[in-house]
Amino acid sequence: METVAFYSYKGGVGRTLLLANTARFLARTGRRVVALDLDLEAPGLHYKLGSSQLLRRATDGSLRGAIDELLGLMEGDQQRPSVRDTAVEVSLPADVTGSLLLIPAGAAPSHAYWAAMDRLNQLLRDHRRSGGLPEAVLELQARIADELAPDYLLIDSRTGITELGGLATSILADRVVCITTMSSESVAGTRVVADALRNAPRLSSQAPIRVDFVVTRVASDSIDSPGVSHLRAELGGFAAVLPHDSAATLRWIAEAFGLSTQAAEIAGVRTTNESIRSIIPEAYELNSEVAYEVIRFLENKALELSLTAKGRALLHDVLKPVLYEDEGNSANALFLFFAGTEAFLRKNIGTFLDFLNLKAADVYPNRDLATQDEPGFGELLEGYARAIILGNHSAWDLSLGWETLIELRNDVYQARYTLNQWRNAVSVLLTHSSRIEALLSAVTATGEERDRT
Amino acid sequence: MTKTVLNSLAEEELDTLVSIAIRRAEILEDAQSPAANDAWHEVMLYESRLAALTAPSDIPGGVARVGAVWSAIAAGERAEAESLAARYLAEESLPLERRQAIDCVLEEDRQRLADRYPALAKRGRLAELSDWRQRSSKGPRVFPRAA
Repeated sequence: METVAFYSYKGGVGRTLLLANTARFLARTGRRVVALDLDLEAPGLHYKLGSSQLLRRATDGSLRGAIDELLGLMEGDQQRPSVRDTAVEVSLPADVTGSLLLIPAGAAPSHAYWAAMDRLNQLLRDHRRSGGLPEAVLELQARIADELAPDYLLIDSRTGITELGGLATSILADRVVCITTMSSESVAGTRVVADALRNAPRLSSQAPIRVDFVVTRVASDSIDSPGVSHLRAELGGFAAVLPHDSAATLRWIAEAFGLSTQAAEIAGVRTTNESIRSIIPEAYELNSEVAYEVIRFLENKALELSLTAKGRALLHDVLKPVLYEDEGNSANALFLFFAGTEAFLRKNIGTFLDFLNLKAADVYPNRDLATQDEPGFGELLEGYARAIILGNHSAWDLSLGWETLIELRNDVYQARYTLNQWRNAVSVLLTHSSRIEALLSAVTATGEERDRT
Repeated sequence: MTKTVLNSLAEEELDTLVSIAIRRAEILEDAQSPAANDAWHEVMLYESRLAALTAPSDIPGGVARVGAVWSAIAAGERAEAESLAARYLAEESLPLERRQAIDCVLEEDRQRLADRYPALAKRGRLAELSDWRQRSSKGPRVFPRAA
């Protein structure tokens, strides 16, 4: 069993999500994985790996977890359940030979959980003869090894400087993945902690600890920037940089855990398929051709990581009609809807016109529509939209304002347009990855904008 | 209590203080009071000071040495208990029965821990943890030291 602790000096860097993704990915390559939440003060791993039923058990106080195991050990409770009874199975596709068990922190958030935290802190303070936290966490780890026999034990460690975080990293883990963003306070803290871990005493039977660095929340076009290079040098030259890109995340997991390319590809496709399936449950079964195209693109995009929940719901509503036959109007309006922003339209006007089988000179002979900085560009495209929807490509009204475009977009959102035209538009969109990226951004922004209005 | 004050106490004073401290610690432990740990720590301070003032071959010296180790265990200070035990067991004139008593205190503690943490005991990690505590108590550290 290899124990890997995921640690971050600051919160909000994506530590728990990276652990959850790693756990799923390893399980999908056939490994037996246990994910243990030792972030007792602010547990969240069960939100990333747990089912809705498990979350209900958490909030109603009935979910057993790591804190209950530790309490039982320190109180000498001989009647406590085995670790196997505490671990929760995370569902995986039926054809996966690996397994993933979650040991959550406990029934958080609930009053019962905070009461358990109080008891644990009191035990640690007042009853030292029973052994301390080191004995308890090492015993828990040993029981996981004995009863569950995983290939990997992945530990979600607490952020910052805490006793339990120190134990999780310095004596439980064989390897520590230190996750940081580019912020100076995060980097400074990470460096100090990493140095401390490298010099910290280990148990005599343990090999020296391995420390990996991962820099998250980096823009895709900044990976090779001087700032990132400098950061890598500060951290010792071996930091992996993860932009908001699920493919990059999967590549890191494969490399960090020594997975074969084939295994990684299989797991990667499965991972993306799962992502698509969660958005378009019918996609994979009903329209594999379209779904495959979507998958091909979205496997390179940070679908789960960059979309808000509302953005995801909106994307679901938008793409779902692709699968069903319907009657309606032009999918060109759909193109505009997906575009969502004037900037996107400016960038893609050439392709947009191609899609309409129109020549720029035919529509507006005195303007260069490929120019992205052309003033009044938005109005021009609004006119296109109106004309297309009305079925009259030559009749358009330059006086239409941005509000009109929003109205048209709202009409599209209400799914008044045909399946085939939606499908055509999506197919066109799918041929260009930059458009998908804009699609995701636009859908997210649209969803958030709608939520604000 | 500062070391200066402790070191200034005569053997007779320490005898009185340790008797009172033992009684107090027993009462607090019986009441399951969280103050019991600190009370046993106080006992350990007096016993170890008595041990320093008395010969290992003397009856008071032998009693103090065993008492110091025992009270350190009771206070949950295993590293200190093992350090004291190592020091006293290195004294050649310490009688056999005192050596056996010290060994017995440590062994009972190890067994208590082994009963509570069987998976660790099976792997020999309880002894490793003891050694780890000794080493991690020295030098600078970032994370708070676990008990």
